[in-house]
Amino acid sequence: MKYCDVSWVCGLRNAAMVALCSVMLAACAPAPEDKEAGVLQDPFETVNRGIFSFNEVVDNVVLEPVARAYRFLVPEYGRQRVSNVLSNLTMPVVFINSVLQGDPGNAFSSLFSFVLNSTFGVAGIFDFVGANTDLQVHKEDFGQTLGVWGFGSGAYIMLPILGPSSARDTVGLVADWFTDPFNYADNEVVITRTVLRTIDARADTLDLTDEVYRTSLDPYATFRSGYLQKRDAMVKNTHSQDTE
Amino acid sequence: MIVVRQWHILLVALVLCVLPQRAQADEAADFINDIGKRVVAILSDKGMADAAKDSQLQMLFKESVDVDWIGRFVLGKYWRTASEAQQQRYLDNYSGFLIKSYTSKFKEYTGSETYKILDSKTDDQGRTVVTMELVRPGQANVLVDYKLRKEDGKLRVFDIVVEGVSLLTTQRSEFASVVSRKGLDYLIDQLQKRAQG
Repeated sequence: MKYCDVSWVCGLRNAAMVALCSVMLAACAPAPEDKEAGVLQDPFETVNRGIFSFNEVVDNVVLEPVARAYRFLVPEYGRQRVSNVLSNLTMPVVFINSVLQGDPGNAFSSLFSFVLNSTFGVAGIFDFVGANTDLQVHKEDFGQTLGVWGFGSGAYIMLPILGPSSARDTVGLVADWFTDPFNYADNEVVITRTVLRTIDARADTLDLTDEVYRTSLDPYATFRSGYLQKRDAMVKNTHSQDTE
Repeated sequence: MIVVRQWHILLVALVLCVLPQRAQADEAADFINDIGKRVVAILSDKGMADAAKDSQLQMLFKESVDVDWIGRFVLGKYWRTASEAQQQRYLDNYSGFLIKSYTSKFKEYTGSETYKILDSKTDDQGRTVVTMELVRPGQANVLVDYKLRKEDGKLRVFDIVVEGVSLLTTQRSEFASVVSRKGLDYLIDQLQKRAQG
């Protein structure tokens, strides 16, 4: 692991991470039937709202302006190429999670798409598979895998910078970080990819967040409810999800 | 042939059971398709002023969506504890707020968006879900579920689910949060402000 030089520190950190994840998962009882208000799922609301306000400031000062500049400066065609490359790089994680979820169809689709798009699609710049076949890849992550295994989302958690999450999905994020082979590349690659992902994701959600701030009387509550519903739909695969 | 006759009875029962649902599913799909066509017709009418477009869209929304029922539902338990005057003031402003937040979305229409109706299903409680795909050039397609039911023989929409996120669920959660933190009158004032602003 490039980002962990001293082995015992590394081991200690991993052990701490596993312990933390176990504790968090233990709290992820299956979701309650009555979803009134989603309030039940937010025991840390005060802290979460604090982090949300912090995120709003960071977003207003950095993320949103950068995303808007990106959308303004880079033509649609270019942004689509960036999205394609990033999406292609997630395929190993999608593959792993499809296998873990017992979904051979999606496992095959993600593997097939990764191999062909990485080669014929020139490192994923072009969606060769999407353009030539009807194959659809559902985006799958370890948070969804845990959901398929019967874990509820647990407490809603607002992560600094990263935004809405849940106890289950935070564990998922950590697991996906470790299983993603591209996180073991050089630091420069990992950092560049992370920065591009952030900008790409923020640019994609500009319309959504504009809409929420235009119509919602309590954006925090709207994002919370929307996030939990969306993740629920993704676990159940009730709507086809685009790959990132 | 007793066996054959029994089969017939079963078949007839099955058809009687399924047919009305099928019929309503088709009717609902046509209903949504018809609204879609009318929205596109209004939006692409170059001779119509923006104000006229707005009021036509608002009228169309009002007659096809069960706004009052949605309003009561999303207020949840606070509806029951509200005074009659509050209920009335809430509903008046809620309908203005909801209609405005939906119809102003259409301002983004560029003329190149299209839609297809993918599916229509009716469950045994008479609720129909019509699934529509919005196709926007250069952007990801959006799946929208319209939930409808019949009231006095007339179909009306009672929930709109965009990519798995339901209007009813989201707004109920949002309103509960606002009312529990700042009270019902604050919520109504805010709705009024949005409906007018």
